[in-house]
Amino acid sequence: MKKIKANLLIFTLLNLSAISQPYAHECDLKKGEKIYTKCAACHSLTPNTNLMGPSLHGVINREAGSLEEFKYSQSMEASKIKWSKQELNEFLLNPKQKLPGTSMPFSGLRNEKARAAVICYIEHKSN
Amino acid sequence: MKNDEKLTLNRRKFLKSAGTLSLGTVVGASMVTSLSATASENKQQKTNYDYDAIVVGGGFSGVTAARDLQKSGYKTLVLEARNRLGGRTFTSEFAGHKIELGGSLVHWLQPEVWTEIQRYGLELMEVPLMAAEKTFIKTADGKVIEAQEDDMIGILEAINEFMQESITSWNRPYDSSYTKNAINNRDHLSVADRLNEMKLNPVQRAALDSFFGIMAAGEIKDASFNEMLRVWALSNWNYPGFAGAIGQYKIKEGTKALLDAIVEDGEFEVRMSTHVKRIESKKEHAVITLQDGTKITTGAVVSALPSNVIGDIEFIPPLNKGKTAIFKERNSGTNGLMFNAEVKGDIGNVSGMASSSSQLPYFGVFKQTSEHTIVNGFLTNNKLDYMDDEAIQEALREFLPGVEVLSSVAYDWVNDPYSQGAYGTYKPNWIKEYSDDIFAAEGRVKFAGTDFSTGWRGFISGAIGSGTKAAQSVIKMIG
Repeated sequence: MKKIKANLLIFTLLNLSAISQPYAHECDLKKGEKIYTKCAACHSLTPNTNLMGPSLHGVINREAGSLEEFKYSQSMEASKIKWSKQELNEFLLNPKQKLPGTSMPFSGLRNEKARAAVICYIEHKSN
Repeated sequence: MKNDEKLTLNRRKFLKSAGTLSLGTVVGASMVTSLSATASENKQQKTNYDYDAIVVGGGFSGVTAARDLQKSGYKTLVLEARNRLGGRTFTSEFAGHKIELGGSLVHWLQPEVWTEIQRYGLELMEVPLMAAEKTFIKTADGKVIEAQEDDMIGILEAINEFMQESITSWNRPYDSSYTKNAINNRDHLSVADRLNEMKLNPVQRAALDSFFGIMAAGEIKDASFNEMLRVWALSNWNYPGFAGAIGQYKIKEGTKALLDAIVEDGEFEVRMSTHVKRIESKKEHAVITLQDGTKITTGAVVSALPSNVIGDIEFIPPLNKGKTAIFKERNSGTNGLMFNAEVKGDIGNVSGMASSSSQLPYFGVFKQTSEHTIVNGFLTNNKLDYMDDEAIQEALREFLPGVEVLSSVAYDWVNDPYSQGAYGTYKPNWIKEYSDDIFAAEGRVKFAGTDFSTGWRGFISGAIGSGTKAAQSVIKMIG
């Protein structure tokens, strides 16, 4: 039992350290456009155009799982996340850790500046 | 020197109307269902169940099985968990080029896919992946050398020696029972074990480790030696055939063009984003339960799922020992992946090789222009962060100092719950221990998918061949 508790503690600490990464608040649109190529096969930035993943046009401050015409994973639908930049930053760092059960096939962007750039680019293209 | 010597649907109306975009086969599920349902309603059913046949999984094996069944008069439904068809193939666009994010390599020596390419009138595109003008090899001591002619000859000699047993072990490569004893006697060997039996210089060792690692989409300790012998046999036991068959041609309009052609021709019904929870075989029929609790009855089921995924569905009665084992043990490609990187300028037709336990075991050039070069990198383990352009640049610079990566893209097959890995081969002992179970039908379920192919396992051709066979088995079963 002690071992389980210790493992849980380690897991919790790892979890917290990973998802508490701050949002960098930088906006390098050129870098963001390049980084977005990693997303583009599955996500469009055109409104109402869902590919393998939902359209990311207007995703910032949108409720997770809220596009009616897209069928999300159960965990995404139940997450109650509102996609603030900070929430997106945490999700993009490690999607499966932030939201276990997500069907998004993406291991995550470890580089803080890359995450900030792509979030900024998505916001820019949503305007 | 010529490449061979050195290495020796149009956008279909149906899919257009279903809202398909240029990236992958991504279609609105309800639209596909209603469109295809109209077609299937016109067919006479062969059974009194909801469907005569249900195919679980919409990769190449699944759509081939569904096409063959529907065209034979069996009301057929495909259930696909993703909201695109294609399985472990995915045509996309990157840096102004049509690219493949998954399986793509075809050849006339792969008979099943070649038949389909001919049937639908598709064109080939030659790729220089296996015909580099300069090859850099990283040896075990970390040094990178540019391979000279003597090095390349030495590598070819080593490959020939490695494959010596192929002609006796796999005299009929689609039929392991024909040479069962020869295969079983050596089935405990991994590729690494076989390399350890040989006397190789450091360049030969690194090159063969890289080469067979890429074949297995994994580290060579996890790849069956017999599997490599089998692919050599499928390629007529010679290097030009082998290199051509596994690395020379792609479909010009992308794998999606072939997929679309099969889907349109098949006119079967598809439900996307539909998760199967349970497949229950009864005496004369089967019941499929979806994740939302919906039950669908059918005369027969074709499971067209990857071996790394199949155990995520509950089978009643349970899957046999062999299928359960390969699901649990995972195939060699569980950490396999390919990335496309846009490198600044024309860096020439170059390639790099390193052991399958290194972070970048292989890269080759896919496209060259004066502005950029598109490099395909193949990974066999999880040591390189393939989502980090800087990490990819650093890995490439070990071979090509100063190259600048502008952008990159990879589809994350490893983290896709519906693939859980890339293509792969069997592990040591699987053929001997499990192959009878792997290929066996269970109850009302027939098994398809490239992992369940007796031929070009791990290739699109294997997927298509297994789908064709499964469809014929279902027809025989239902009558």
